[in-house]
Amino acid sequence: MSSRDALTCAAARALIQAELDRPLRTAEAAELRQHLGGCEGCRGYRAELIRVQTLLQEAGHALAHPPHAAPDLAPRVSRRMRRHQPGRMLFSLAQATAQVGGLALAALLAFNIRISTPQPDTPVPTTTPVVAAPAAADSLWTPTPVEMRVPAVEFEDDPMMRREALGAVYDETGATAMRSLPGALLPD
Amino acid sequence: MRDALQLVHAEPVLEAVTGVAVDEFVRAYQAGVYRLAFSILEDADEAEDAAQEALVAAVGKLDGFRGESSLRTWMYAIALNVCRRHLQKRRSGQRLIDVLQSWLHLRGESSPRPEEATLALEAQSDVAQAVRTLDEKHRLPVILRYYHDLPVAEIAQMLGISEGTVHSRLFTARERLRVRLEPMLGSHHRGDHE
Repeated sequence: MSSRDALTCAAARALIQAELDRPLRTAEAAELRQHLGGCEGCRGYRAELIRVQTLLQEAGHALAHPPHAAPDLAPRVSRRMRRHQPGRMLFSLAQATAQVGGLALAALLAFNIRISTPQPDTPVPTTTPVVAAPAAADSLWTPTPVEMRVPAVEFEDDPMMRREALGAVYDETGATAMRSLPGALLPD
Repeated sequence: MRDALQLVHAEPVLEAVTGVAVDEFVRAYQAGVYRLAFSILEDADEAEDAAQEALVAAVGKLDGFRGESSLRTWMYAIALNVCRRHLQKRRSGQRLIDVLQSWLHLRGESSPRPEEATLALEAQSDVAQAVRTLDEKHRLPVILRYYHDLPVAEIAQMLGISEGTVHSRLFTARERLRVRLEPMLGSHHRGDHE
């Protein structure tokens, strides 16, 4: 900075920065020129900033102009705008409600089927599992397995009994039921 | 090309929505909006989604356009907001991944994103990487100024801040980039003395 210099380096650098974004006023440009004439540090600073700017423009060109073409979005935007019209919105709402209802029903059915289907891979216990049953048979009945140690029952090969044993068999009081497990109770 | 704004305002928006005017509006701006989104998000698919989202939002709000800025500025401002939302979602997703990785002790095993790998532009990618390290507040003005060659006044309108603030953010960003990119700046004298 020369003795006749009106600018400090900080003020000169602010002008150098401003110069990158807007044209300097005549007086500003003259002051800066005078300062740069006597300040090697600020000349270097200016050169570096101009280089940064060039690098940014080069890199930016690659990122702002990707090699692939911009997609044609007009058809998709038009479709989406049509979907957003009021009549369509009511229709979409009804459609969404029906879909949610259907899904809920399907989930309920799947859950019910899952809990009422005996698992084929269930290991056969040495004792017969007896399940407490509600007073009335109900398709939504959730069985609560209760392990009760009862002696295995020997069956005679009676076709009637065999048929009954394949389903849920209720005793005369209806208080208990034996669930058939293939091969668990019945000899072939 | 006719002014897209006139095309759309020439008839009620709902009619325009299904008509030729919207197509012309979208075709007039889609390339610019997509380029803007790509330069911010650096992912082709995400940029396409963001551009579409921005165009749909713009067409839907056209009747609220007051002409306080140019239509392009207004359109880009909407696109910027959409991109910011995408960046926020991405940050949230990344936070979740970080948490999961820390739980599963997988930290440090993540691979670079494929779109970054395809952007192997040597020196340019170093500069782009340096720009990525800036926080959003400073990065967006740099992208708009240098990647899209926009004037400060337009950047200020798009970001909803004063021109002075844009100057200040660009000043700070350039200072940080100058330090970060020093090895690429050649043998110029380091001008960091008062």
